[in-house]
Amino acid sequence: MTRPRSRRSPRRPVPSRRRRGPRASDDASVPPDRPNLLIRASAGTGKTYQLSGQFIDRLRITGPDRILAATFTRAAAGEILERVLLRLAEAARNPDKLRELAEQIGSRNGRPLTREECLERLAALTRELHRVRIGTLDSFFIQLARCFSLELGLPPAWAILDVIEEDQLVTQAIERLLHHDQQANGGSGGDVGRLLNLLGKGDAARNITALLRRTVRDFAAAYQETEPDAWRQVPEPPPLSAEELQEALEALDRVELPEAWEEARTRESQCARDGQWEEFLKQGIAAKVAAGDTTYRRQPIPREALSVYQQLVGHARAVLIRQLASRTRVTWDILDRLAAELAALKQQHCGWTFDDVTRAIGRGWRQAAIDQLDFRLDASIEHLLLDEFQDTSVPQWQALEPLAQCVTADPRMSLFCVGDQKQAIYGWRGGAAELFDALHDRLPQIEEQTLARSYRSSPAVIEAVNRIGEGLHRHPDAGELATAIHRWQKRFKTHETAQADLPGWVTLETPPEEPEGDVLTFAVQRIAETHRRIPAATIGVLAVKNDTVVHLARELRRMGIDVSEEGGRALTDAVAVQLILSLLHLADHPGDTAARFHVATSPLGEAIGLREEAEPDEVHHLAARIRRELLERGYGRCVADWARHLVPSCDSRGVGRLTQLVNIAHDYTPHATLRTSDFITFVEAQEVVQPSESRVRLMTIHRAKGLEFDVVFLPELDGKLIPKTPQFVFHRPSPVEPPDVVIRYAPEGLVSLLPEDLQQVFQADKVRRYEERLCVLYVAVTRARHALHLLVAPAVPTSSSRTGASGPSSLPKTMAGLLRAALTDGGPLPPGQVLTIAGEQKWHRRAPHLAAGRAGAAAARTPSPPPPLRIRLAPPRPDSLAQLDEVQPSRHGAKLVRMSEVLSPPSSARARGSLIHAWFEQVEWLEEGLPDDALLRQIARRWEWHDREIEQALREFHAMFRQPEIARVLSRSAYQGPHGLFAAALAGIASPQDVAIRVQNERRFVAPVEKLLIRGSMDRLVLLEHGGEPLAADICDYKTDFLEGLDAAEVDERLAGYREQLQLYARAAAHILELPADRVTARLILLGVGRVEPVPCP
Amino acid sequence: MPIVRRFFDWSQPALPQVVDALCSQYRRGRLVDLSTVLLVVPGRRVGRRFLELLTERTRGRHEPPVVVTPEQLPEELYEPQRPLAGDLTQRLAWGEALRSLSEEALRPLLRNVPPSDDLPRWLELGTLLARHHTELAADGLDFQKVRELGKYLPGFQEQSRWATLQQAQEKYLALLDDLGLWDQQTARLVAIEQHECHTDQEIILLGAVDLPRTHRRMLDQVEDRVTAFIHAPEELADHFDEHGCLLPERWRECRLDLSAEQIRVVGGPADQAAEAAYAVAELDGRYRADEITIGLGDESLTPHLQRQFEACGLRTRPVKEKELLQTPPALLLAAVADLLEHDRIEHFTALARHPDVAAWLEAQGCSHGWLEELDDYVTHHLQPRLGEWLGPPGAVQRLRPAYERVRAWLAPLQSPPQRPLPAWSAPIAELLLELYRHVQFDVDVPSHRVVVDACRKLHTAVEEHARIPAPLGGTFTAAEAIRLALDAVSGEMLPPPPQPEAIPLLGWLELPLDDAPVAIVTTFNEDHIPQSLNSDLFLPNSLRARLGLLDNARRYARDAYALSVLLHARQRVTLIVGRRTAEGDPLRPSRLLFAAEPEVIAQRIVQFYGDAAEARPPVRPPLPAEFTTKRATPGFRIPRPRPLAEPPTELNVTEFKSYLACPYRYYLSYVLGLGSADDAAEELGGSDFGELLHEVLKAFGLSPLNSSPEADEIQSFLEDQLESVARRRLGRQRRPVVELQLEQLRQRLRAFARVQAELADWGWEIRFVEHSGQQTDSLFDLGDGRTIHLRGRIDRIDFHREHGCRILDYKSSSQGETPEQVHRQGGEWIDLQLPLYRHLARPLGVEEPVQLGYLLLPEDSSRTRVALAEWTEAELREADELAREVARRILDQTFWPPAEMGSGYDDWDLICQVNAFDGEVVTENSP
Ligand code: SF4
Repeated sequence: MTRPRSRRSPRRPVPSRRRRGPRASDDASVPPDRPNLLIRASAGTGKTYQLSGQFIDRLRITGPDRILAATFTRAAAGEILERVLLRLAEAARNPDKLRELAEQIGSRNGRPLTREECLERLAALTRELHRVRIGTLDSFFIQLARCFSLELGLPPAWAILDVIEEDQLVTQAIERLLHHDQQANGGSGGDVGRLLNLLGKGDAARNITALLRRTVRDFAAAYQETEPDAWRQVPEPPPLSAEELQEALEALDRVELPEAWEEARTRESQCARDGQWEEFLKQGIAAKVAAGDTTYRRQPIPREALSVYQQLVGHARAVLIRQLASRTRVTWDILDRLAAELAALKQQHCGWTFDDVTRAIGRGWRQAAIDQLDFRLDASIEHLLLDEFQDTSVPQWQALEPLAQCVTADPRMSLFCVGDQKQAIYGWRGGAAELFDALHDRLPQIEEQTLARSYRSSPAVIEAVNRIGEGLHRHPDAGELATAIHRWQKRFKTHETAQADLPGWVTLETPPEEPEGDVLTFAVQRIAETHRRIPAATIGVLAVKNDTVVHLARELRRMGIDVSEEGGRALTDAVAVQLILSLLHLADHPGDTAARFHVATSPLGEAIGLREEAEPDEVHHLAARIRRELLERGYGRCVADWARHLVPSCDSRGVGRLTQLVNIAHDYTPHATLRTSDFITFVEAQEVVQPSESRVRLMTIHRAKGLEFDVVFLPELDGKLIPKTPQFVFHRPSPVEPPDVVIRYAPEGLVSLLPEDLQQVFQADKVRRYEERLCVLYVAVTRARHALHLLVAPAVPTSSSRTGASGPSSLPKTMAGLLRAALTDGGPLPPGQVLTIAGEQKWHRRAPHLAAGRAGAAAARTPSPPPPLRIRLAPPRPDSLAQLDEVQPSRHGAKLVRMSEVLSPPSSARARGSLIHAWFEQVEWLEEGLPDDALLRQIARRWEWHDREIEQALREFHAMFRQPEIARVLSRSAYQGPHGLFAAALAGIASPQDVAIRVQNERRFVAPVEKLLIRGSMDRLVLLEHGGEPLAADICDYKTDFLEGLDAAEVDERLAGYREQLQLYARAAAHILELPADRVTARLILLGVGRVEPVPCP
Repeated sequence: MPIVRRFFDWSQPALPQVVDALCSQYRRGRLVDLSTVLLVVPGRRVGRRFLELLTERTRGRHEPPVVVTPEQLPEELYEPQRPLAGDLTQRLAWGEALRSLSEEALRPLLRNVPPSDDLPRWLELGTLLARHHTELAADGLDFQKVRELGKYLPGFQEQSRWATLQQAQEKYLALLDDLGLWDQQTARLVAIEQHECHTDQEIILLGAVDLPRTHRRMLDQVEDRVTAFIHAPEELADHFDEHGCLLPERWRECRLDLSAEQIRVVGGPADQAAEAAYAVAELDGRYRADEITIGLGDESLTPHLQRQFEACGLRTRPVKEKELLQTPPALLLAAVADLLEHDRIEHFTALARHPDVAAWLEAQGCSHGWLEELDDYVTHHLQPRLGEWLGPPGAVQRLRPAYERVRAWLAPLQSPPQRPLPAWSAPIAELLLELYRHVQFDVDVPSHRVVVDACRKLHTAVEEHARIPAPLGGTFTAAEAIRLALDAVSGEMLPPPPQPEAIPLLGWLELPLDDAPVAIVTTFNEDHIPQSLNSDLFLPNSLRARLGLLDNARRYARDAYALSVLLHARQRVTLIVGRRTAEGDPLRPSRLLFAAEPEVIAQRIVQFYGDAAEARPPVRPPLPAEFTTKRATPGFRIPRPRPLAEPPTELNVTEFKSYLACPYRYYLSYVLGLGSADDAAEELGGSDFGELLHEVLKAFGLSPLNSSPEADEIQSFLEDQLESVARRRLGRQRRPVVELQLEQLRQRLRAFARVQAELADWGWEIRFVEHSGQQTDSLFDLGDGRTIHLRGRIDRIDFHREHGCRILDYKSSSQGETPEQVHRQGGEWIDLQLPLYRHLARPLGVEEPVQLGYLLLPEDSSRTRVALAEWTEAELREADELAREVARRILDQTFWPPAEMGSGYDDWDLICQVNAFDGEVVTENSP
């Protein structure tokens, strides 16, 4: 870039972290030990090995909570910790392993690692397992953001938005944007309408929401990272004025031109009049003039005509460039307005995305909102170990850099990065692969190492990788691809392998003409054949596009080969799943006759009672029933039930998909909403891996990163090198800075009209994308342990290339083209070729573990698997309480409940009932006086009663005792004398004066009586005792309801319920006290109506 | 007399021993009288189990003790001098206290100070502080003390924050004081200070190994009545303090004696469930269901366990049946709150699908079909909310009454919209009551019981609003009040119905006092057993440790003790360790597994992760799976067409295209008349766009302006028409995006006006325009003696003195494809609409030769124009012949097989099994 730009200082201020807690390694005698280290580790050289070693090394001088090891996937994080633990443990148990580990990490303070130290470290590490900071960058940022949520301006209860929620918020933001826009513009149209007209050009989108959603998806990250100015870098040259244009057009028709050019002029004139400026410049005289030529058809263009053309070409250029400029600018404008709406919505919904969190942390450092890190994290971070450094994005680096600055500035702390720029395959997201190179400038104290010794691949594979890496430049391209190859090759160092004895084979193959024909069909044959020949070998089939994975999986499965498709797809690829989703759709939309037909004609239809010719009313009811079941039983159980009816029609993959659907349904159940469509969306949004034990694994190259296979097939090398045109191009002033130029993508014709420096931006962008594709190719070829098969289309000389020079000059810009350039002489490649690049065809004969595995695999596939396990339990104990029917008499009377009893009287009245009960609990005998009002008030306060209410209730309470029947029940005299309650029953058993009378209030009990377990609490139990032995018992139960507003029948119903309750109490009391039935009585004390009702006890 | 510590042998479970001990101590005659005992147990379940054992032991002849949990204990020991503030009152008071601070004072705490009137936001902050206040107060601390004690902590730079918090706390306490209330924490502290704790019960602490400081200080005041039952051998007396609580430093180094085969390290949740099933299988029928407990380090494993065990023919009893928030009444209230707050169509459509609402509407006499009408209405009119009632009344005859019922039901919550909280209690309860008033619930039916219990709890929560002191909290909307009530019950759950012969699943904390001889613990992983806190907004671990709050050391001690008890008291213990969660997050093994000598640690790590761990051969027979199949190939069939009772007698000219594309899909859509329905549309789709344009242009064609050569005149007519058409179809309230689309339509009409004026200028006049509902009909001879009625609508027929007639169809597709592009592909006819118009036009007096074409109204309005077809007579004859062929095949009912088509075309992908891996592969000869 030549254009001067205002630059911000590239270095961010180092946050104030001066006031750190005491360091574990605060020890003056500790010399500066490990240098800060950056390792460029080629594929298979053992990144995890490096990282785990470094972690163990740091463990020797500090606590595990002071080492932050960050990586990108959760699986990788888990693996690193397991590796650290295992290496320490093995070193403690095995001298060889100890030596290896000690060699890798060297000495600390002059002390080599010993067995004892390993044990000691292991004990310390396992004791502090909860403090170990090995995780993903995202999880670390989230932890930070939680500790600083208030400082970062987050609501206290924020959470990470999932994809669906985010999508919903974007949709809402769009609606609010349009709404506010129309409000501001007094009704229809609005600015956004104008903006959309510009945006929508070429997008063929009548669906506005979709267009805006797509804009957000494609551009939001770029928007977030940039200043508005970056989007305003396309100049806007002035076009001709209307009059000037008119004049020029007339001049064009007028000027003198050779006869033979007339056709060109007519076309161009028409284009110009129609304003089709792109067309205008495409060919003919205008194209020549635009390219700076002064001749057409080898004749000079007459001077007058030339000047008219120059005028019009200038105008065309101005119009087109201005269009690009405004499309770019408008994109920013819309994003900016949407971002404001979205931010407000996120605040309102307390939800943030991972990216939001990362950026907030970066911002937080700058605004000094993040301080006190050590305190809130409970330890300071002294060592930073970063895995897969090439995938770190600029915002992530901005959030990390202050920490990195801090640890590199202190000799007792350290930074360690490991990664491989040759494997930077994440495009914009990992836009900072160049960070690797920039790290030096920003952190001068860092040393570098390169690892090129593979612990994975056979010499054959490594030889091929070297030939590819070192031969790519033979590709004839002279443009951006050549630049990309050049840049990429600078990073490539000849690989070696530590696995000198591994047998291997690498081929470049073309399909025979017939019968297989195309590469994919051929690939299927080759994979099947290899799998049959070496069943124990893991085979990785790595494609570029997901669709290809699906296609290959289907074909292989049709050949009877079980494959595992990795990379996950929505479950909707199985008929049974589709049927269940259709049923769910029908539940929400009973008018959907297509769904009705779909379900009714399937096995599910019969199972749920849906006929093809069902009337709308039937469907309506069925839908309501299903919605109710979903709500009551949960999605998990409902879906499982439906699945059972479909299983008999499924093959094993179908059953697997159904099982996964049931899994998802169970997970979803606690979050269920009232709409089945929410569940359907949820299912459709989940990419679910179909797990399989299969050794043949199909996936995209991207997903294969970090994996390895015995044999690798690359069947999709002939596609366009850059499969998708990007949405925009950008330029960063330096690898760690935000872009200072963003331009919407433009086709080449348009780019050539731009000023030189912007053309360079487009070119540089293309170089970057080519480089990324080279990385993809490198990742693909380095996954193989033994064998690598590159399957490409044949290249027979075509008529055009026959006339031109034969050989490499005609190689296409595809991965296949690149491989042919590097591995062959670039000449034609006839069908049916198998070129051995390295190694030998019968390699597997020298691979004993594969041979041994073969026997194992064959054994595993015995025709009849053992029958499933039957699990037995001991029979239940017949006398256990659990075998009894439990009854709670207080509820028993209320088996049938009306909501009016639950929801009204208002619970204050219910609370009043409880309070009165509690007060009566204080009453023993009326003769002894009523409990003190002060005590009663105190009890009331426990219920949060206000004083006024308490006084009111107290008055009621006192009034109750003025009811004669009630007063009598509560008097001791009722039980005494010849008319006493049990006088008759006890006659002849005990003389009245020997009988003690005792009250138990709120007497709780659990009593096994015959087949019942009766549980409850008697409000008042009066016991007549003799010498401590019970003689008789009277049960009183207070009822505080007024029986108001009930008709006679309802009163009867309620009283009947109460009686039933007391009869059960009586049975329980007789059992507990071991009394005959006739010496237990029960009475209902109807406080509300001042009545006492004896309950007959059978 | 200090608290008595009594040790119970831990080689047996604690509860049976305790019951025995209490029975002999408290026997009075034939009864065991524990009425004087206050038993403190760690959880409700333990209390229940205690009573069960007691009942079994005494056959019911006992007086039970009062059983409380530690949280309930303090209130048994003192009488509060003032009414206690409820939870919501406290949170509101905290919010209020914060809100009353100046922005400057709040700055050290908050970057974004919410606007003063944003009550929910303040309440949220209030809730945060209330939580911390409660926790600190339980240990006798307040914010000021934290600030003072923090000073001594290295690296503590947070004085200013805590100073703000302290200010807020002062305001908070003053606020409650003014209201004449106390919060529970204050009441307890006052009781302690005033030495008011007393009891006449015998207090027995059982398994209370980690009591907060407030509790201990209260117990100290009644110490002569307290006995701590400790489940551990007397030799470990020095591992417990005088309250019987654990001494964390003693447990830090304890060694746990585990054998390798007690520990099972497996993969994900399903593997854990399978391992648990294997562990049960290993018991070989020697134990009953109630003698086995499955412990849950993580409750989310429950569904996995339930499913695996069910597949094995075993029943399990989960910890909870359902979250209260997932019950029908709670979901109902949430839906009502959404609708009240936003009043948007999607909230109504959600509420309308609540089964209880649907049932209620039915009981109110609303007839079926209103849901179907709702879908149609929403899709057709795209309104942001209901109520304007567009279109023919017949189309909403069921929907409208249903909608109005619902609105009437909600009306009491709408005006006045803002009320103080207490004023919302009754209307919200009334809302539920109205819905359920006429339903009779049978509590023995689980689903009924759920509704009753949920309503009861929700009612209580709503009623708490009634107790909010008036000065607090300002006014709220109904939606906010409902959400507060839902908040209050969040996390509450409904217990499962009792299930004899089910293996109980228990939370980890319940395990130590459980007495089944076999324990299988799942998710024995770090962060679950023990939990730990490694960073925090206010109280990170170092500060907690300093303040004596629950910290990682105490958590570890508690779990180390629990595992010790388990290992000693149970006959068989299996610990299952997961390696990852359902989401694929890595799980770490519990630290407790490494409470061993360093050599053992190393050995165990190798056992877990070494090569041997992976290579362990699966020698065990497989477990029964939830679903199994023996099929090698899938058995789903695409439903075959069935013979029709009556063959069709008429065909629309547009149908031919469909048949040519795929006879089977034609059968589905035109013969069976199937169609999809949903309510997902948010903006005008392609066909809506076309319909609106057609309607406007038809009106134009019939108007006197149809021969005008004045573009402006035409344009203003069209715009008026568009507005009135839009009013009829889309109403006055439109979605913003629809508004924008209308603007786009306007632009297209503007371009049309220009083109139309030119046409008129050139001498073209409009001869014929379709009338509303009018179809043209013509008898079509199939050449085999059969005929069929051809039907269709011609948009317009133009006439020119020199050029004759031409039939034009308005085409609004955004790209503006020409007739040739639409009708033919690779020289083959794929659509016959325009050629067949010739036949339709004949009865109108249009004689051939006639030109056929489109009037294109594409998105790019510079390309608006007439595009004529240039088919030759021979080509048109070919088209006619093809039409006859199609018609014959339709009459012959030839609808099979389906054509191979890519996905995403229409509603038929699912029926045709297009996207499925296991779809039927139909060949030419498939029967
Ligand atoms: S906040 Fe909601 S109601 Fe208000 S203008 Fe925006 S979208 Fe409409």
